[in-house]
Amino acid sequence: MGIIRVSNKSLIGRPGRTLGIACIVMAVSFAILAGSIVVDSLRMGEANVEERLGADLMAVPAGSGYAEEAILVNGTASSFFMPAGLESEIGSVTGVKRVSSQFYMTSISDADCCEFLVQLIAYNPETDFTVTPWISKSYSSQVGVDQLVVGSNIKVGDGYIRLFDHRFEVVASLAESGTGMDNSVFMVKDTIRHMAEYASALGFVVDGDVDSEISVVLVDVDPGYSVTQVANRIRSVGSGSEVDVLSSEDVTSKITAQMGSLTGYVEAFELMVVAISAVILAVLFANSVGSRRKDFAVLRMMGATRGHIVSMALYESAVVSALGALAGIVLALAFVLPLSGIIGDSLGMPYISPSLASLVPAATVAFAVAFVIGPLSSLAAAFSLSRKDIHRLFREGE
Amino acid sequence: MLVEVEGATVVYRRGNAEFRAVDDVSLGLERGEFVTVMGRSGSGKTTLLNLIAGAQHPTSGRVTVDGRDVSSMSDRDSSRFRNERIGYVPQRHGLLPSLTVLENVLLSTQLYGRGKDPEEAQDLLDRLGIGGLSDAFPREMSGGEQRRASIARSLMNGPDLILADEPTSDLDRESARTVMELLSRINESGTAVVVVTHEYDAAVYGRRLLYMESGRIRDATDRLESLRSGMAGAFFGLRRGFAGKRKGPCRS
Repeated sequence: MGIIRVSNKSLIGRPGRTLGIACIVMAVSFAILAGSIVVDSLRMGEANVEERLGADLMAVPAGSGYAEEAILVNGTASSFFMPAGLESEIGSVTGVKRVSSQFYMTSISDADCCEFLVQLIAYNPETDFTVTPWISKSYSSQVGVDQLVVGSNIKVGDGYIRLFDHRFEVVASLAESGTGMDNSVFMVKDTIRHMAEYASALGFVVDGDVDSEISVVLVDVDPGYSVTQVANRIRSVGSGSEVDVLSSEDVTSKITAQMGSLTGYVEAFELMVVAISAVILAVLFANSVGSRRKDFAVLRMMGATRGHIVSMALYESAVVSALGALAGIVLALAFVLPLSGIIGDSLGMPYISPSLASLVPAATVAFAVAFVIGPLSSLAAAFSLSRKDIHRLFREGE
Repeated sequence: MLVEVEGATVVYRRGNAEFRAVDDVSLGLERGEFVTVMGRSGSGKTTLLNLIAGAQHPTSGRVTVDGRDVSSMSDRDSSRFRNERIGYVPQRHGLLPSLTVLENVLLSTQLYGRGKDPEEAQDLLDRLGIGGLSDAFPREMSGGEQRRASIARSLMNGPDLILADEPTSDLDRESARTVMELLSRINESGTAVVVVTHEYDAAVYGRRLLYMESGRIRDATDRLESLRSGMAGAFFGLRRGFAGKRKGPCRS
C-alpha cells in the first residue's frame, strides 16, 4: 500500500513529466486507432463500390471512361452523351443478359443542398437493376415525376432541395456508400427533362437530349460468358469507335491497388510511431527512474526489497501508459471519425466510416499496444535500478 | 551483544587496483550503547554503517545483528529485517519530496502492510518538536526540521538500533545540537545508536568513540574527554594515534 501511495504521489507531484510521458503513449494509441479507422473506412468503401456498381460492364461514349470512373469513385460531376439507339444494340450483343441506360446532367451553383456540383442521374425504372435495389432500402414506393432520391452527402432541409430555381421533393436519402454516388441525385427521365427545361429558361445551354441520347448503358453479363469477351463485342457496336467499356473490376482493381499502397503506408507509419515512441519512452523512463535514485536508496534502506522497487517503476509506467492510451483513443474517435468526409475527399477514394461498435476490437488493440509499451520500455531501467547496491544508489543520487 | 562485526572487509575494484573500503574490521556493540564513528571522507564509515544495516554484504567476514547473520541474508530477508529492527537516518534527511512529513514518517510502517495509526506518528512528531509540520512537504522545512522528521521516521517501527549517517551535515550549530540531543534522548530510552560523523562537535555525544581511516578502525574513546573539553588538538591526536599501530579488533 505504501509503495502505491509513493508512486501515485510521485506521478502527481511531477505533472510535467507525467503528462509528457502520457503524451508519447497517447501518440501510439492515436496512431494505431486512427490508422485502423482510415484503413477500415477505405476497405468498407471499396466493398461498397463493388456492391453499388451492380453492373458487370458500363458502356460510355468513347473517351468518357475516366469521367465515368470519376463520377463513380470521387463524385466528380460530369455529363457525356451517345445516341440512345446504342442501348438496344448493346442489349443484343451475345452474352448480355440485360441492359439499362442512364442520362447524366450536372447541377449549377444555385443548388441549395451542396457546395459542390451535384451529379444528376436519370434512370429507367422499367429496366433498371442497379439503382432500384438501393433505393428500395430507403423508399419502397415508385419514385414519381419531380421526386428525387439523394445520396448521403446531399443536404435536405425541409424535404425539398432547390435545383435550377425550382424546388423538388426528396422522397428518400440513400445510406452512405463511400463512393461518388453519395454526391448524386437520382430521378426518372421525366424529372430530368423538366430540369433541362428549367435550366434552359435560366439561360443555360443544356448538353444532351434526354429523348434521343443516353450517357451510360449498364450491362449485366450472362453467367456463362466471359466478361472480357462481352466487353470486346460491345466496343464494336455502332461504328466500332463510338463506345468505351469499363468493367466493375477495372474500377475496383484500381481502388484495390491504391488501397494496398495506402494501407502499406499507414501500417508503416504506425510501426514507425510505435518504434520511435518505445525508444523515447525507454529514455524518459530511464531518466525518470534515474533522477530518483536517492529516493529509491532511502526506500531500500527503510526495508523496500528489489521487488518493491521494480513494482513501483512498473506501476508508475503502467498508470501513465493507461492514461495516455485512453487519451489517444478518445482523441482518435473525437477527431478522425467526424472528419471522415474530409479524409475521404482528400484521399480521393471510397471511404465509409465504421460504426463505433465495429471499432471496439481496433480500440482494444490500440489500447493494449500503447498500454504495454510503457512498462516494457521501463523494464530495463527498473531492473537496472533494483540490481544496484544501496550504497551505490545513495552515491549516484547525491 | 546487539551487533557483532567479525573481520569484515569490503573490497572494490578501481580499474586494475583493489580498494579496501573496510579492511578487516571487528567490533561489538551492546544493547543501548551510543557509539560515534569518526573519520575523514572516504575512510569507510558509511560502508561500515551499510554493513551493520545489512544493506551491503562484506567481501569477507561476518556481521550479526541480534544474533542474525545479516551479511549472508537474502535481499528479501535483510530488507524485512532492516525494516523491523533497524532505523536509518540517511545523510541529508532522505525524505521523499512528494510525500508530506506525516506520510514520510508512516512509510516505513506500510512497506510490509503493518500500517500504524497516523495518530502515533503525529504524537512522535509532537515529541520531536515538529508536530505542526505534519502536513508540510520537505521543501517547506528547514534543514534541522527535515532531519528531525527523518529521525521520527526511523523510530516508527520501534527499532533496536538507530544508524545515523552524518546526521548534522549541512546544519547550523544550533540545529546540529538539537539533532544530537534528540539522538541522545533516544539512546537514553534504550535504543542503541551509531552515529557516523566527521564533526567532533557531534562525536562528543557518544559514550564510545571509534576512529576510522583507510578502512581500518580503532577505539578512540580515551580521546572523548579531550574532545568534550574542546581541545582540537585531541582530534588530530586521533590520527597520530593511528599511524604505525597494528589494527586489531575493536571491542568494548
